[in-house]
Amino acid sequence: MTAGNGFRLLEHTADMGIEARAASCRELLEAMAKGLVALIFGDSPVRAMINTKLEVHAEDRVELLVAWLNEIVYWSESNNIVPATFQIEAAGDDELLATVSGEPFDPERHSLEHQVKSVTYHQVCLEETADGWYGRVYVDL
Amino acid sequence: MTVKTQQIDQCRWRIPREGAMRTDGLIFASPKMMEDLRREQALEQVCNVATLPGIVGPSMAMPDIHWGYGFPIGGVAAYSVDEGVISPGGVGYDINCGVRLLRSNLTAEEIRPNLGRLADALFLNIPSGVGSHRSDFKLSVNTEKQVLLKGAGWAVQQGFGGTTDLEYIEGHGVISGADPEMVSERALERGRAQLGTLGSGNHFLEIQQVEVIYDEEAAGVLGLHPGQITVSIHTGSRGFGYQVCDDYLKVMLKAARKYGIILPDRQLCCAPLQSDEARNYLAAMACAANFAFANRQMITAWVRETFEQVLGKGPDELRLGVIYDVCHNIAKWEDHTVSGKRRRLCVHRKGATRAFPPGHAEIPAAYRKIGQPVLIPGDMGRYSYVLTGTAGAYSETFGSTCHGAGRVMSRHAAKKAARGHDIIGELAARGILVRAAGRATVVEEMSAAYKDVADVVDVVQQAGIGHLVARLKPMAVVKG
Repeated sequence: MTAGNGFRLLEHTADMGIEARAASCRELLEAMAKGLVALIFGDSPVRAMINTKLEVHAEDRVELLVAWLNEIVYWSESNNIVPATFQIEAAGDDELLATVSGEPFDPERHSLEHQVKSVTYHQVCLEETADGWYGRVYVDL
Repeated sequence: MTVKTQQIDQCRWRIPREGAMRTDGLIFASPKMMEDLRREQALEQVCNVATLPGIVGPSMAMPDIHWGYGFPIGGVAAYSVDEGVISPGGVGYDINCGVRLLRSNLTAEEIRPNLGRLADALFLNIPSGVGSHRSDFKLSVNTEKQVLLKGAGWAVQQGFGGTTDLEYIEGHGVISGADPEMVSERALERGRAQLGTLGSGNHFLEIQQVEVIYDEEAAGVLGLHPGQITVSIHTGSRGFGYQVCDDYLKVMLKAARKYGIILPDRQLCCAPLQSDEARNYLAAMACAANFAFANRQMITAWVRETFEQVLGKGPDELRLGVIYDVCHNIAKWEDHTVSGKRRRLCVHRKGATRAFPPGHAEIPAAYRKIGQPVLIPGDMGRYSYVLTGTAGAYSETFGSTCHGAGRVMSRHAAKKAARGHDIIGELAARGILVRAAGRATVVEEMSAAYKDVADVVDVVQQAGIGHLVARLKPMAVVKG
């Protein structure tokens, strides 16, 4: 199931997954975030009307990927926002700083495809390969 | 990875211990189910659960087993108090997701003319779908903490139902040991907006009619008879539970490193039951379980209110009483006999239902001679079942059985299969009304996406880990 933008939505019997490939780790984290938004909101058109900074800490890069995506889930759900863009300003092994934008959810313009309970650690992967960076998560719906 | 299995009989399969496994796997499934299971990763997950320290007995999966995350859905595993672990992934994000069944004094014939109005009113009065909540109900932080401590009892104190309801909820609607100080601000914040909401995905509210009775005596004890209207409520701890799970997975990832626990999958992260990390999680998990009990209690009160408004009948005429309320995502301290010795165990049920046998002290006195009611929802187009717990389940599965139908089709595959179909229209033509916040959910939750729950309970009955009492047919379904 391809959705473009460097990510792919993965099949799972009960839930869904996201995988992405990118040239750099930052681009990979951005692509995974776009995949998450596609999973939740489908291809709803979305404008960058509101900006915020997100800061995430974790024990290692793999856990940072899960924490980053869960931070987006929380920001989106608690503010009723459809995320639009992600710009990672700094990403290390255990912390990440990003500016994200979006607009308030509008049922006339946006469709809610899935409610995400959480991004899980099941078979989570974030690694540098010969062709660049690869990431994968499964999401509990 | 190919998982080796040995067929024991028509409904049991052993996965012999190998590699890092500390015990065998035991799957309850028909030969056809096993064929399907080999196409996904659920069997590997049964093996992974068997590697965790202190597991007692086999790593088990009920016949609704399917690929989960960490534990398989349908997984049951017990860990010893001294050497065992607790794993939030073995409980799941939706802590105390569960099912409640209400009986009524109404017949299907009686409500059929008002079914559309009832479905509309339930959809309006019981918040379902993302971001939906009642404008007449708000929760302060202090009150929320009372919910976390008291569970369904808090809701009854506030006038949502009566004290009799509490007698017919697993554990009387409260798990002891809850400590709100062990819960994050973020979990409290997510919970405040979502108490008294159904949620989306596979959660539902259903008006049903009793279609078949398999055991007249047990049905009589439960107050069920053919043609009678029942109402099922399937929901859990909503965003509160998801956040508790997420918070403690981070704690347990650190704990697993600290205590040298090797994890085949990070989602299985865990801590020794004797550690502070485990104690803190269990206290937070109890808060989430209590939140879920209160949630189902509030929804019950709104169901009663809605029936009264639409049908113009009073509570004494409707008699919407709680038959039972079960958890199917939980870890509990229980005493079980293992190799002739009584042992205190932490039983993880991830997509599995407690099924205690006749005579057990934790069953409501009125049901003690028939065993604990077990509520098994199917899909919205077919049927659900009422079973009772058995001595077989108590001795073989730590008193556990299945929890539902179990998916066979991915969401994407369901969408593909639904192309060209008007799922809501087709169900309406069969007399089943659906009210849903979104079409996507209805398509993904269509009948064909699930195993036939009749096959699941058939295995349960054959294996002796549950006893069939009644089959319920959906008439109106409210989905998020």
